[in-house]
Amino acid sequence: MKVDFVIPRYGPVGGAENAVGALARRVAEVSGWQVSLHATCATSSISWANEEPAGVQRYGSLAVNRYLVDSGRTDVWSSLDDRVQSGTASVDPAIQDEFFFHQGPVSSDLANAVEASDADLIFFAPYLFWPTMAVAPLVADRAVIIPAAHDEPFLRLSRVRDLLETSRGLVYGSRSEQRLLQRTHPIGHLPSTVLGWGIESPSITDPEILEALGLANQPYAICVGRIEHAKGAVGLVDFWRTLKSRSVIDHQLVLVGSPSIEIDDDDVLIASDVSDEGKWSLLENADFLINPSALESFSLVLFEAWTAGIPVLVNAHCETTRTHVAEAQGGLWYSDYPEFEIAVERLASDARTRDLMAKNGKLYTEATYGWDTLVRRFMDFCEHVA
Amino acid sequence: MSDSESDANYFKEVVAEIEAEAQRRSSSGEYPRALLRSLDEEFRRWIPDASLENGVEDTIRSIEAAAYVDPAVPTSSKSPLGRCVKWAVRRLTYFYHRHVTQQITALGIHITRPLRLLDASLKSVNRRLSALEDRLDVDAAARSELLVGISISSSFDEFSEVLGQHFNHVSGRVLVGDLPNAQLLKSLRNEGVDAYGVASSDTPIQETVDVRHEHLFDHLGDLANQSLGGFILCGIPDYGSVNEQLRALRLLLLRSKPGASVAVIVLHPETWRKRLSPVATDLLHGRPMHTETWSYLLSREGASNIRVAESSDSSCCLITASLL
Repeated sequence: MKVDFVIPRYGPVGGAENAVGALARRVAEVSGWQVSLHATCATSSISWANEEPAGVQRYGSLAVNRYLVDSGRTDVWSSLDDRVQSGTASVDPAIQDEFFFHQGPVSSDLANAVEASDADLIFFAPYLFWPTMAVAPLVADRAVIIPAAHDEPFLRLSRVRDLLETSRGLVYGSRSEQRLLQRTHPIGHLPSTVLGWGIESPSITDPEILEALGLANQPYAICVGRIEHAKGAVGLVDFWRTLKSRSVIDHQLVLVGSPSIEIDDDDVLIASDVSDEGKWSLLENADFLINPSALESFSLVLFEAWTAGIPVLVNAHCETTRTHVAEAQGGLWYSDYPEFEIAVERLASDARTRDLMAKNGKLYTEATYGWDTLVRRFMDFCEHVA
Repeated sequence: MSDSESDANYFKEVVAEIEAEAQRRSSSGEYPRALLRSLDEEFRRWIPDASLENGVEDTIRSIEAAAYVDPAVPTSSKSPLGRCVKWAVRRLTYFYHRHVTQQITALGIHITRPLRLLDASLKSVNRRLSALEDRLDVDAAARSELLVGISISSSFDEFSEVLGQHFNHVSGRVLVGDLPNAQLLKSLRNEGVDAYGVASSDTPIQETVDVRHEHLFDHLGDLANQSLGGFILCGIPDYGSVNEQLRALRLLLLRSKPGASVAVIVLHPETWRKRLSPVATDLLHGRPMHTETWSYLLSREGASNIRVAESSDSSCCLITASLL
């Protein structure tokens, strides 16, 4: 079997891209399977500037082909974004095409290479960027979409419906994501699977980061991911400030990620430009992880936290993360400030609860999203669809 | 009690304790209203509407929270002088702000009143609907209790070949549901049929590829008309109420393309009666319909080539047909 993966960027960047890259590497190791990955030379989803060299690089058995970006996110993107988000039902398809073009990253080299590929199946992820929206229709009869979608206005665009309806099949991260997509567009009959994502545990960690950030003897809660409004970061900081003014907990809140908004860091510690090894050290030494986002298609970070041996606290309004936590019994959820306050107090002060939930989460991760299970599930799906 | 059961119970207790304590603190007035409102504003801004469980109730609460305007303007400032000036202005204009905010709050109350009436009316409709459902059928809990340990699903194995031939040349995908196990799906695929499954129960088919784990009605509700090349209706004809069986058939026919191939697998009513206790037979509203009834229903929809095959032990039947 020959399969290709197409993602906007390759490397330890972006939840979906990272997860697809890890899956591609694992499948490439299976004998009889030929796997190629196509990505652009960009690493930043804000500029899509060419940062990596173009050409083929091998990562174990996986061939990664990088192509130059012709145009990244442009100045007109912002106004198109406002237009699209303000009323998805009324946006003309031509404007949608324009939006995806300016959303980027546009790479004609990538499009040509994918169109010329002789792979049995070509997997595209995530749905929102030009390589999926513009290139997948060129190979629709072999294109399998990995939407990595959450409930957002873009999902309702008619171009997204066209893309999904004409694809060969779909791969979802979770049942919640599958339900969301099937409720939004009439695609329930298309071949699909709920695959989930695997965790790449680190071979080495970077314990020095704790000293560097002044966390060696400081209990803390951690939040990992993009620091922006839509991911709930500001709401979390508001809640945390209020909690610290009312409660006696010693914990610090550590936000790991690049901030795209201004956060007053008197009450929280922002750790940007943290390496993957550093992130794992921070996770392992935290008391618990908080994921405040209500917009998640899978939330790999929950599984990373469980793998690192800590429980999690999630937004109860996010069906995906709440379902994971309830099924795993690996943490708690909050639907408003009072519940947040009490859940944090409990996780900060009760080691028995923390240990039990961390253990539950780890068992759930291994049983449901262990690499052997995932790769077998993926291969079964490919053989079914091809 | 096993370790995993005790862990699960402990988890439930912790969740319940947190919910109860949050309720207690909220109702004791521990949190100033203005504080909760400002915290809620950013928190709720990024919650998708669909995830708000109490749609109308939540909307009313948001409007009420937003309609409350605090006349006490914040006086904090980086310089002490600024703080003093703001405090003085607040004192001097407090009567004015209070007057304005009282009117805004009153407007909010007038806006939410009709919404409250609407909410009450919706709740009343839901209550009446539930009562009606109760009259139509024994509730789901009682149904499970009456059926515990009894197999009332048809055995599909010996129909695989006939089904394979019937669906071999259909154009489009074939839906099989409600699936009790993966065997039928696997046999069909071995016969070259492009089939996928819908299963409302989880465990035996969790790892079977291309199976949707959801209720058949939810799945059919989301499909477009004429999107299926055919269907095999099973499970629901064995244990669904008459209304459920008719509804499943109606939806499947709507979602099927003209010329689709269709099939129904159903237990023989006599087999069903023999397997159940007299209590269950009396109380359960759902029971298999006769093959004659399925043939009649399909012919009324204009289906042709209606054929009935019986299993070798006469326990169940297969009805196949083609739509016009």
